Amino acid sequence: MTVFKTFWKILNKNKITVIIYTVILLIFGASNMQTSENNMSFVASKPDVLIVNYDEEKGITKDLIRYITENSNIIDIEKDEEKINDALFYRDVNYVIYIPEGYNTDFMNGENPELEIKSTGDYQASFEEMILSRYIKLANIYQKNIKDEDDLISKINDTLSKETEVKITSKLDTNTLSKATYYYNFASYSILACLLLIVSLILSSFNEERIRKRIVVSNTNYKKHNRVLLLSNCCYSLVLWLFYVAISFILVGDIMFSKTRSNIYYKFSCFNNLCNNNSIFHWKFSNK
Amino acid sequence: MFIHNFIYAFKTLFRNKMLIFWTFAFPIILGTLFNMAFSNIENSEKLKIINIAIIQNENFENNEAFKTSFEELSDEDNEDRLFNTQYTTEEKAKELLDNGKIVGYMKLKDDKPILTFATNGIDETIFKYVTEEIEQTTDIIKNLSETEIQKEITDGNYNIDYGKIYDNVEELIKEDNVRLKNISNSNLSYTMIEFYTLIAMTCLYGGMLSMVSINQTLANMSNKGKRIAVSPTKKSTIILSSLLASYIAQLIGLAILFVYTLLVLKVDYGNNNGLIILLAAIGTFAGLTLGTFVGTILKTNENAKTGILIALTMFWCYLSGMMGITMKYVVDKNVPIINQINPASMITDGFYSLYYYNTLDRYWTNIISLLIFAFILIAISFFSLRRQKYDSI
Repeated sequence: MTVFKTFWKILNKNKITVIIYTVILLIFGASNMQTSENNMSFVASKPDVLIVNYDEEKGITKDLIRYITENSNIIDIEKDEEKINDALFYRDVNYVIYIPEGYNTDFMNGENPELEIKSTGDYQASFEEMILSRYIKLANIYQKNIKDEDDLISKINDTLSKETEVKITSKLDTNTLSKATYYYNFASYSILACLLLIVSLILSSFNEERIRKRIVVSNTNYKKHNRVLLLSNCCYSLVLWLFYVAISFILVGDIMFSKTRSNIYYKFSCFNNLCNNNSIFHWKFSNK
Repeated sequence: MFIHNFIYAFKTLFRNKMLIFWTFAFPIILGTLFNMAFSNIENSEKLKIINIAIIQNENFENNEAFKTSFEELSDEDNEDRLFNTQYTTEEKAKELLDNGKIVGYMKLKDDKPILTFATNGIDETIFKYVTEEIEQTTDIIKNLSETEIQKEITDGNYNIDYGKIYDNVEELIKEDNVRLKNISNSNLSYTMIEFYTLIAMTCLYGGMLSMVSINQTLANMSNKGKRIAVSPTKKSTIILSSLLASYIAQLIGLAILFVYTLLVLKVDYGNNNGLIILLAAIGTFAGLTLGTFVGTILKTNENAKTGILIALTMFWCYLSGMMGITMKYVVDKNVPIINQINPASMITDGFYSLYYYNTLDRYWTNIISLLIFAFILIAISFFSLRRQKYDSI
């Protein structure tokens, strides 16, 4: 009991570290958790796209740009080739579409002009290519039968406007879930820091030469001493984990009570992390 | 005397275990960790086969468009396979969705598809998108067939071959008439930046070697320095031979790292070997001058100098993308001047330009910037070191 009590006394002296890391977590966590309004309906993903148009913005060119803009996030980058290449490399854009000069005229003449593209080759880029291909394919099919530009555009848009009905089964608000993700993303740093700092500080206090000598000459069995230290560390880890999970309940709310797999995973992976680190530290220090 | 001091300075550096760990072993350990962390990150971003389910009701069985399209898109022999489809009942599909085995399921009701998802996401968006495309294709067939039939009637032909019209329209739809030319560079692996920053860090960490060498020749820093100060040897000979020894030690460390990253971690530096070596050599020279600068200008103990050197290097590496690849891009985009005077960024950008760009303009700009950086530091160090005399120490 003496060792156990001493552990908590030293912890009490270092409580300021735990407070500092918790405050940092609350500041950064809360600022990251500022998400938009609740969202319970389906929202389509939109790839980041850059359109470099060398043609006049009219007719089919204008409509193609409108369609791409509606279905993608248009990224505004200076139309300098080096800047575009950098943006593509660092995934600021997933897809770049170059519309050549005279595209509209060539298209209406049935020449099926070629479009140059740049792609990161990832998920988003593949999806953007599907969006672009859909429009071009549809426009080409109708162009063979409809010669009037306005009729053609109207027919294309008429077909593209057909949307499928979507139902979302999850009763969980995805934005609140992402709040929990932000919280636990940052909480892992705070928990680790609190654990590493405190456990190492306390164990090194026990490991100081004079203290160690005093412990060695005491009548307490060293195995029991180490066992109590390990137990104290485990208790501290448990309390710390409960404390941070409790904060998440206050900050994020009801969603933390849900039984989603990710939720359970967050809570237990944090605890698992704590246990692992604790055992490693204890082993390291008590073996000295 | 030059060779004599060079040999001993070289030996002294290699016997300093702590120094050798930070300049030789640490970058290799860090590189290995980078490789473990990032090796699969880009593969996970590629489009994968999406698990879906379709409710196998009478409506679906009778709808050829949806049936054949999903069969084709789920065919294991199809190169463009998009889905792994399970045909099942609604109860079973709900169960699969709840258990996270599928991203969603489709039910046809009066030939209209109804999609059910658990949440939003790119897989769900693609599923929705493909379903819409099939529906739209059906719409095109209907529209075009009607137009053709109308034409036949207008032309006075009442003996219409409906089957032929339908076949023609279907043939038109099957034509792959989308002409896209991909002009992007094939070298798009952004995780390479991590390894380039690692090389930059090693170059600048090499400054520790030159700093230690300089400290050993300074009378106010070590006993050895006091001994050298009273010896009848030209100071420039001692300093230059010490710096040369640390430069060669740095190059050996960098060469080991290069070989390790190339052969073990399979890092791609591009094909221009001569220019890669030139950049590494100049980067190391910049690191050497940085160490000399910190060693001569700061009048403090060796530990503080080491701390300042490491802090500077890590801050520059942070700005050049070591702790987050996009950081370099963010700085380049918003405050480009910072990375134009940041040696870690110059080295990283030099390797990046060799890997990604076909032209060498950007590479030479980085080389010149690094040389300017190095000569400014060496000039300041030179003026600080010359005619340094102590009446009493």
